[in-house]
Amino acid sequence: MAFEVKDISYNIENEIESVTSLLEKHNLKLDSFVEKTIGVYEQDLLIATGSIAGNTLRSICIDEEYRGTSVINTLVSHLLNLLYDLSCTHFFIYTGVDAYRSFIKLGFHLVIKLESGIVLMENKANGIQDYLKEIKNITSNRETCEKPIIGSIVINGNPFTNGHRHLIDLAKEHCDLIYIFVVWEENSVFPNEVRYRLIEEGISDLNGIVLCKGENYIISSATFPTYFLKDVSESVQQHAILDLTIFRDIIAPYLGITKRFIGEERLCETTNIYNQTMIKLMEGSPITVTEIKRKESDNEIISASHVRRYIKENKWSEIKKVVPKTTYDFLNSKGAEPIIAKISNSSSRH
Amino acid sequence: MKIIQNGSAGTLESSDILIQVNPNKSKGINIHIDSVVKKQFGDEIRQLIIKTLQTLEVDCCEVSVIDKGALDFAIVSRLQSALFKGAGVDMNICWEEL
Repeated sequence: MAFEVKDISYNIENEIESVTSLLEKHNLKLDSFVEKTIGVYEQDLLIATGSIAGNTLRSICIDEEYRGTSVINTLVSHLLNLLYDLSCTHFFIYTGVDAYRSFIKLGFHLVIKLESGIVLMENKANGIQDYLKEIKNITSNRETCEKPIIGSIVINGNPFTNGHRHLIDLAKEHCDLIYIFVVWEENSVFPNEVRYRLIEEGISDLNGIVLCKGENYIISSATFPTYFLKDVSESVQQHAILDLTIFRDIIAPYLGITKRFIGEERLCETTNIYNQTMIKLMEGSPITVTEIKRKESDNEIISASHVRRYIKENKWSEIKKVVPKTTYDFLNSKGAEPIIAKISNSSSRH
Repeated sequence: MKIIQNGSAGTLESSDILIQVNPNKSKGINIHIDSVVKKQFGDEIRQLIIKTLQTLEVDCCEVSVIDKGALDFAIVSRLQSALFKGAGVDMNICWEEL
């Protein structure tokens, strides 16, 4: 069997159509945010397809007639080489439980299997376990009481505001130790390292906090790719369930987390769907979700998206009211110039 | 030879091996093997990789392999290719002497 592998051009209608109809035939769809799609052909007939979004393989489908043959090896080899070319060495597959055993044979390891049949796998054995082990190692140096109450907050912090600080202060009243996970994807206008540093500086007077990177396992390209998109789609809830199940069933138990704190979300529909999904999913689990009212300034809720709007509108006196001195000083520093330029020229949500 | 970038070679086809080589942030050699015959030949594959690294004087790198039952010569040639790509060498390789 001689198969030909071709890159699919998103501009050529009949190429995309053959991909979507193959996927639809098997009750799958082509995710809107994929960056590269390939097709495997046997004599001009499309028999398999797979796509890449960030560091995750998705929308993978092999025509039923060709399952159990070497088509999957050809398809996945090609996709992996594309990832290697992008210097991506740690990657994931988002697929259905039917394909799970095939991917085990191709060197993938299970991260989580959802009740719905969706499966997330990664190419590292014990990837998520090693990630959590490292976090626990940082924590073991901290002195806490015998049975600490451990809480968690996931922050993007684009940039870090007084609203974030308010949430952290409130969480501290209920916990002995708090894990703050910083969303670690380069999809926000403030780069990862900058967002991390602004949070670190903004909480430097507090103790009992472990600041860590969400990396691949919390609100990432692998677990929640639709978080970063402008349009809200039905996938949002599906992805939210994946992200939150990983948190509920793997991350929280390992780190002993029993509380998660979120701010009420009235502006962003995606985040609101995520929060409501969280409240529902944690019911019956050892984790309590606390949704707090956002801090206000001049009767308006404080939000990082407002700060970005003020930056675009040059309203520096407004910015000063809603961010800590550490964030404000950064925004006025030379290091912030490229970020400010980007915000001033953009129309994106992030 | 110094591994300065990612290098990969091979496929996931039956009897082949897919090898990925990366610079190692810490010192030394790290080898991760995924093989369909890991229980029978895992150790032999590891020894073969170590020997090939020694011959090419590579003492610091990360090697990750997904083996689908490749024979020794296939493992060695895929590994050599991946290492040369990782070292950024693409000219004048005297394959016969390796």
